[in-house]
Parts: sequence; structure tokens; C-alpha cells
Amino acid sequence: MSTFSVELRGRIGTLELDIRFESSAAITAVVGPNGAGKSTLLRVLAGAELAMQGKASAAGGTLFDSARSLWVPPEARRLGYLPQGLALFPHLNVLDNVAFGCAGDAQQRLSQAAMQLRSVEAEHLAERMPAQLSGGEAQRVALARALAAQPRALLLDEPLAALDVAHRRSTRAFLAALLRQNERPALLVSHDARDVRALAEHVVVLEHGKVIQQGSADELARAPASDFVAELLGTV
Amino acid sequence: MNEARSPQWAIALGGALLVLLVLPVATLVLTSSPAEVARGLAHPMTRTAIALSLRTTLLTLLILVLLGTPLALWLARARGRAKAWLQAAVELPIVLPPAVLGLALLMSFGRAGVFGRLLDTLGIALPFSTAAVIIAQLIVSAPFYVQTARVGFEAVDENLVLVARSLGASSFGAFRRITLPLASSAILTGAALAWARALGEFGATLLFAGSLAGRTQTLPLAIYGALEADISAARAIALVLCGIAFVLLVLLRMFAATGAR
Amino acid sequence: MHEKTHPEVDVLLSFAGSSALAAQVDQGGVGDVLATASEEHMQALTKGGHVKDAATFAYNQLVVAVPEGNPAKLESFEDLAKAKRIVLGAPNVPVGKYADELLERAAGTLGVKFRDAVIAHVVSREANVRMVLSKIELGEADAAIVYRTDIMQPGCKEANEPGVNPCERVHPIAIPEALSERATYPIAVLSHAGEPALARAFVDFVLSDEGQAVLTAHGFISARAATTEPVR
Repeated sequence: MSTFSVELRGRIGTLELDIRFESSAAITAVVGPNGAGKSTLLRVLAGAELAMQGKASAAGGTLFDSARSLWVPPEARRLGYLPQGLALFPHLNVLDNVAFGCAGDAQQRLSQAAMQLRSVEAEHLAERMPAQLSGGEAQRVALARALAAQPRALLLDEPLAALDVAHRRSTRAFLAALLRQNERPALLVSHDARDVRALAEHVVVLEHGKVIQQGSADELARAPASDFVAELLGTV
Repeated sequence: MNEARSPQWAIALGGALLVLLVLPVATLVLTSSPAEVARGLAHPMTRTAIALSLRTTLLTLLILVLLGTPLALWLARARGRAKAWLQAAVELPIVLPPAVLGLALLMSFGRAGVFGRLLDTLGIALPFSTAAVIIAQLIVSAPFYVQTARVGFEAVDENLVLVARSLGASSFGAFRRITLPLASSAILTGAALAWARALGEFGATLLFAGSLAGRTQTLPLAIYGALEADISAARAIALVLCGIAFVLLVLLRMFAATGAR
Repeated sequence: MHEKTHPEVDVLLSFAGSSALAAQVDQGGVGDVLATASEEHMQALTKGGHVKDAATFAYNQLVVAVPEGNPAKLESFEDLAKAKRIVLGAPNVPVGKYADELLERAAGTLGVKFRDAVIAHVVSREANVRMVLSKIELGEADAAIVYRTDIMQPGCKEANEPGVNPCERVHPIAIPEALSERATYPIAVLSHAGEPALARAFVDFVLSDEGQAVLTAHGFISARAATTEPVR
């Protein structure tokens, strides 16, 4: 069964998108140069209202299908979305942020949130405001928030980009462990080869809005379809 | 706090305008004796006008928040030419002279007006009614609220809304729990501005609603009417309006400050 | 016309409501001659020393004004109670005050119910005659009480005269002589006039035969008239 299946056609600003790929890997990476359309892809999958044709599904659930005039609203897609910048709600503290997507009455939601924070080793941050968190801490909180809503799959946009080098390594390891432990399929956008090699089983390369190559990291390294791929994965 | 000092030429030139802005009101306040003001306030016309102004402007504000907030959201999310046209439509009352507006209202809802005739058959007569006062106030104050609220909504990162919805919030739920709290200071500021504008509305009201104590004679109309006979009553009413305006300004500063937090 | 006979004189006219003008003069506004619609204001200014030798230069009379088409179908003053929307001047301006006095007197001859019905149908009390008339001209009010001069134009006839071309947009209905009092208009030279001699000459012209003829042509009643004369 495929974890992610995408057929997307449309235009964003001056970029023409024509993205077609399928993956049955647990963790799929989407790579490409700036402006290739990676973030847009994630936003469309998360449910942003952009005029797009085609169809997409994640973890077995259809997200939209323009041929059948089907468009599932974001709140029904059950996808955990972490944009660049994480989008933590600035007016709520960490605990309330994490509890946002939980079900039940106030008490149930808060206790679920506390549990989730514990699982990412961040329960000591519960009372803090997002502005007071470091990059790594915010990352964990955002993950906890996404997981607390029991999503079917995760969409991560450059999860490690905002971290400094030292933190990046430890957080990468943490993320790898967390994703494997969770058994939820994840679609990960990154421009860092180390992320790709450490995390992804299947890699999709986007350039100028089109998929130019997909496969495992090794396959791509052996036969890169473009200079970008060669540089990214060639000799690391 | 270490702040750079304002340049001298800015203070000199700006100061001239500042004096013009402050002088007339300062003169009004300083040349009034408390006894005169008290007498004017005791005048039944004044108290009727205050009650009417408060009643109508608060109702206007309520309608504005209920209908203007969604409009501001619509505007905030609109793009391209649709957005430009929508904005122009909302801003129109600002550039229209109130008398023109009053005339337009009569043409539309007056007895012989385009919609007035229809309303007449339903038994609804708008001119000379308190409802007409509220309509006039609504039109002139709406741009202030809608535009300010719109700016507030636009300042809310759309990613926040998308994430909220991906976590299970409906469109209205995300608006209520994320957009609204984050734009709250803009909304309050817009409401204060709109309220001030509605309180001061004169030209359109005079033409469309007329002037009758207790029904349509708001504070500004009362000043105009009082001028004909009792200058001290006019002064007292003017000071009441000044006082309310001052309070509103203070509130505005407070809301803006909490927003900058 | 005065300008024609005295070509070196430019007569500049500044119009406003009586109290606004009185306030301006009181505050030391610039001018040479003042003519008002209110004896009271002129008396106050005379007492204050701002004007000299006030004299009556014309009279005016109140009429009921109805819009074109006479929507309330008013035929006479007694029908006024039938009008659903009546506009008057504000109680503190001359035209409003005179209307109030008129209605009080009408209570005596036509009954208290008549006066009460009329007052109940008053929907607006405007700050000046122009505003009152605009409500009539726009067709928003059924009737108003204004001065004859405001609606009289050469050639106008009464609304209830059969087969005649009425005035555009506003027609008058006469008010019984017994009820309607004349409005008295004074004119005077300002004490602080810049050109006192010329001011005097102008006032004299207004009070002369020629001046009075012009006034009566526009609906005013001549200052010479000792009793109220119907104007045709």
C-alpha cells in the first residue's frame, strides 16, 4: 500500500507545478532547490485552498480528487503539519498549544497534552510561552502538538533548518527515532543531504515544479538526473 | 529606554500643525465656566441628545461588529482585483461628503426612492426615524472598523490558521481560537474609531433622518440646533462630545499598547 | 440694483441664519449693514451698541407649503392635521417660533385636537428654512410651515386654484389672516461699519419706493403696509 500518492497540476505565482509521485516508504523525503515547489506541495496536502487539479492521498485516505470534485477540508484530513517556522500559537502556552488538537473535555485534553510532552521529553516546558523557547525546544513542542491530534501521517517542512549545527545532529537522531517509533508515514521536505540519508527511504526530487527523479538515496547518488542531485547526494 | 531624539526641523514644522490641531478644542475647554457647562448639561435637550446618541451609536457598534468582522475577514483573505474592488467599496463612505451620502440615502430609501417605495408598501418608513440615524452612522463608521480589523487579520500568519485546521479546527473554529485573539487589539481599536465617527455623524443624519428631539436629534445635531438660540447649551454639548472623544482616545491608546505587547 | 445706480459701490452679500449673523456681529465680524428676520436679535444688538437706527424694511407671512403632487391632498389650512409628515423650523429659530405661535392660536379657533394632531405629525424641526424646504422639495414631507417669500416666485399661484400652472415642486396653501402673524424684518447700519455713509445710503435705498417695489415682487409685504395685505 502506498503511503503517499500525488498527482498535482497547477500554478502558483509564476511557478507551473506538475508533480507526480508515489511512495510506499515509511519516510519519504522531498528535495529540490529553492523555489522548486516543495513547501507548496506540503501546503496543498495539508489543505491550503489553492486552485489545483489532480488527486492525492496519504496513508490510504484521499485528500482531494478534482476529477470527482472531491476536496476534504483540512480538519478532516488527519495530517500533522509542521510548516517552516513551526507556527506555534503565540498567544497560548506550550501545554495549550499541544492540547489544541486533542479531543474531550478540558481536563482530558490537558492530560493528553501533558503525556505527549513527556514523550518528547518536553514536559518541563508546559507553562512557557512559545516566544521563550529555543529552536530545538520549539521543534519538540510542535511535534508533540502534531502527534497529540493522532494524525494518520506527518508533513514536515524543513524541520531542522532553523537549528544550529550542534543541535541539528542531536535533533535529527531524535526525529529519526521518533518517526520510526510512531509508525506513521511521514513526508519530509529538506535541502540537507544528511537529513535525507539519515531519515528517508524514498527520495523525490523536485525542480521547477516537476519531479525529475525519485528512488532511494543510493539510487540517486549512483545515477543523478541533474547537477543538483549530483551535488546533493553524489559524494557525501 | 535609549531612544534617538526627534530632529529639530521635524519638531518645528510638525509643531505648527500640532498647535492648530490642539488650539480650537483647548480654547473651547478653557473658555467655558463650569457653571455654564452645568446649566447647559441640565438642559433637557442635552440629556435627550446624550441618551439618543449613546443608544444609537452602541446599536450601530453592535451591528458593525457582527457584520463588519466577517467583511473584514473576507477582505483580508481576498486577492488581486477582487480585493481592490472590495476595498474601494468599503472605503467609499470616507471620501463621500456626508451631505452627498444623506442625499443618496434619500434617493434610495426616501418615500419616492428606489427602495423606499417597496419599503413603504411593507409599512416601513425610514426617513425621520431612529433607524435612519443608525443607518447613517453605520455607513460612515463602517470603513474605520472594517479597514482596521482587516489589517489586524492580515497580520495573522496564514500558516497559523492552516496548522489550526490541520489539528482539527473548523474554519470558524480556527477564526475564533486563533485569528480573533491575535487580532483583538486591532478589532478594539477599529471599534473605538468607528464609535467616535458614529458619535460625530452629522451631515447624512441631518438630511436623511431630520432633527427631532428624542428620535433623531443626536449630540451633533443638538449642537447645531442649540447654536441658533443658546450658545451656552451648544458649548456644553460640545464639551460633552469632547469629553467622550477624549475617553475614546485614551481607550484607543490602551488597546494599541496591548497590541504592541 | 443699488449697484446699478451707484456704480462705485460693490454690494457684497453674506447670508446665514439670523442667530448666526447676530453671533458674528456680536463677536466683531466685518460688515456695514445687517438685515435679519428676527426683531429680537436686532433689539439685542441695538442694546449692545453694535447697530444703529434699526428700522423695519419688510414683512413676511407664513404659509403652508406642500410638495408637487400634494401627496397628502391638503386643500386648506384646516387639512394640516391630515398630513402624516410635517416639517417645521426648530423651536429656537424665527420660522419655527412663529409656527409654534401660529399653532397655539389655531388651538383656540380650530380646537386643541387640531393642534395636537399637527404636533404629533411633526417629524423634524430643522435649523433653518432652507432645510425645511429641502424636505418638501425632495418629497419626503407632506407639509411644512414656511415664509411666503421662500416659495414665491413671479407667476406662482395657489395650489387650490383650478387650471393654473403651479410652482415647481412646492406649492403654497394660504393660512387664514386671523391666525398668521406677520414676521417683521429690521435693517440697520453696524456701529463699527467700515463705510458708514455708504451703508446709510444702501439702507435708505431699501426703504425707498424702488427698493420696496423689488421686495414686494418677491413676495415680501411692504414696510409701508399698516395692516396685513394679501399678496397676489
